Amino acid sequence: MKHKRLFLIMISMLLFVLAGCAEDQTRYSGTLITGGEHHLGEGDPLNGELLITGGTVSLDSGGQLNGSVYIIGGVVALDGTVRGDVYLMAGELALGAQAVIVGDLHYGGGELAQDPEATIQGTFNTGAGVRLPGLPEPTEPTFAEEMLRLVVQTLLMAGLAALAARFAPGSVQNMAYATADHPVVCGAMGLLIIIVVPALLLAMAFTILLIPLTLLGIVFMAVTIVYGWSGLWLAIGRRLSRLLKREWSPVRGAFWGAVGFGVFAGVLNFIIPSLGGLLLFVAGVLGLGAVTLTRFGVQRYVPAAAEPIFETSGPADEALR
Amino acid sequence: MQLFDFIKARRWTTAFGYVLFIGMMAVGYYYNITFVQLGLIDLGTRVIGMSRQSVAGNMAVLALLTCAVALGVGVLMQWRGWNARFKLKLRLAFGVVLTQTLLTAIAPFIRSETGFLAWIVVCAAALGVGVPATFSMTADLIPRRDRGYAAALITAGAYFAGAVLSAEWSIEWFSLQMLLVMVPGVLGMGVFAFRRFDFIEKLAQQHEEPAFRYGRFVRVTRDGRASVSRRLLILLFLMFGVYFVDSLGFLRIVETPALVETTWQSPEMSIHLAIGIMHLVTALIAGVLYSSLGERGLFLWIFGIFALVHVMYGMHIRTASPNAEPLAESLLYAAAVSLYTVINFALWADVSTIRNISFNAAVGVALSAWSATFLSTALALQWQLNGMPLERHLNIVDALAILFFLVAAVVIFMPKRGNIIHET
Repeated sequence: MKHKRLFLIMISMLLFVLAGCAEDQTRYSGTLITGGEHHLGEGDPLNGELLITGGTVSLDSGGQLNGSVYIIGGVVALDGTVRGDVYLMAGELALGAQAVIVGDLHYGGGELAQDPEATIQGTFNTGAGVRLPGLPEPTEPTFAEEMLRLVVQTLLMAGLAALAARFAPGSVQNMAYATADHPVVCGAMGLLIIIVVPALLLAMAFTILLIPLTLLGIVFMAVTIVYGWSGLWLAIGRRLSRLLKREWSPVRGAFWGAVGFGVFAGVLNFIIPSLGGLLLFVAGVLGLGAVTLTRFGVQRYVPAAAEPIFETSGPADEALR
Repeated sequence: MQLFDFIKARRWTTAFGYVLFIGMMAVGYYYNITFVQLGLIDLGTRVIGMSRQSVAGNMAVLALLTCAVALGVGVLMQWRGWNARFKLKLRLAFGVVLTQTLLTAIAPFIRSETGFLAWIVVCAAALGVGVPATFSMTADLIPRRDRGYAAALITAGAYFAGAVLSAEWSIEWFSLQMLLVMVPGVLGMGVFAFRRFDFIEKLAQQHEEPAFRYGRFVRVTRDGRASVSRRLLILLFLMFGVYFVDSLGFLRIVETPALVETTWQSPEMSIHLAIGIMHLVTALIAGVLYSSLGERGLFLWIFGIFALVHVMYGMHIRTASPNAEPLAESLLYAAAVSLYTVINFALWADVSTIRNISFNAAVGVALSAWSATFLSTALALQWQLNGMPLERHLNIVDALAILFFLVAAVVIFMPKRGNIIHET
């Protein structure tokens, strides 16, 4: 039975990996350029969206791109027609005299050199308002919308934390102790993971074959961070319960700890924008560290001993100390 | 940190000891990673006009001579019981800094190969004395609970300064920079070393306190002898390999304009700041984790990140366009280097007692930081002279890095088998 289950899991994983490599004509297609030199001439139109993260791309006069262009790296020289929008977020873009952009040009960063005779038939947008396609035009949220967003986010966090504490109370408690008693160590470990793991995932993605594993890795990191949060919320909940002189179960402690954090971060965000996001990042780092140090809450974290071992006994040996 | 306890107890002398040690070691290490490792190559090739092969040979002489002198001085200090004589060590350190200051001042004026070799010999002798003398002061000035943090501050300071202040890798620039710091430093050290101060006398007695006397990884037997676990010793030897492989790769990376002109030698200050900040942050992380993790966690992270860095550089060479900037790889490299440098500064004192720290530091630092580093410098230059392509060079480095990681993983998860007595 055990072998059959293992066999089924392995077959599923293999199918998943193969699915990542399968050709699917009905799927949306675009072009990703990460390096090398690419030249699009007349009579060689490129269809679909074009995402450029590196390398050199040139579109000759008479050349045609039927889709939008997203530039987040590399060097791009356009002297032909782009039947879509052009987004410049980083890297370099040079618009030649024959360049025609049928849509809009969005300039959010990088270097832009535009020949005076280049044509932009849509609008020219600058600043941080460069938006991703398919999303509605961002508008300034109202106070009610902000409050609703805060409430929903907080309740979601609290609900997930309570669920984790309900089904794995021992693990969540171990993580709570680690966060509360050793915040600096948790923070250091969490920061190190955040520095190293994305590099590892990127290295895996470069192999192409391991892209599905990379995606799994990203999902796993996200789940780990959320799981680590539950320990932090419980630690905060414990402090709150002591303050309010109440006894809370792990489920209640995690729930109210998340609510307390959410409210605090939300209020801070109103006073200083982005501060709430920064607090959430710090919470994520602490949670990640706590998950790692406790091995997903399986064991309580005890710092390594900073003392040497003395194989001594009796008062006569105290002199050695 | 125990430092805060000392400050609360108003032990200002002890706090000053931290400042003295961290300042001295940070400046000394900055000197080594810039002036000695990079400045000498510039002096030999650009100023004197020597061939790269000749420079490589001289660097190998520097490495071996430093190692030999350090080991000899380490043995002498242990045999004569000088480890417990703080003021003597302070005077030795003063002598080293004075010699290095003079050498730094005359370096840009050397114009012959003979002069270069003579400079190398004197420098090696000074460094060889300096390593056991200064590293052994850890047991006098830094209690074991704070050795990770002290090592972190040394590493952070040296590497941050190295990243931000060394855009120009020329002997003249390095010489000027160092003299600005070393001249007042040597004057200060001279006063402390040769005049009688009560706080120096107090510092000289600190190694008698239990918090300073024994290293963290030491096991003291009933008859008062110290031992460390066999597994830890094997891991320390593997660390020598890490320094060797790291230097072997780095020397080729810095010889490749596409890899270095957009990173360590970039004209953009923002790039230097990014690398410097990464060094600083990861050094501090390493200091915290050194004090909190056991052997297993510590060494797995070091070997793992080290292997990942070199694999990423190898991937960059194979897949990226020639003009692509390897900033991500450089940042990860900075993280890995900070991590193992912190370990290197803290570990030798923590596998020692006051009786044998100079010898252990000489073996550890001389073998790892000098022989491995400088021998690999010579080897890297030799491969380049023989026309070995960059990709092949990094293939070998990648393979060695991954091999060390695998061996370390095996050693780490082997059952612990006994200790080795290393002090009689």
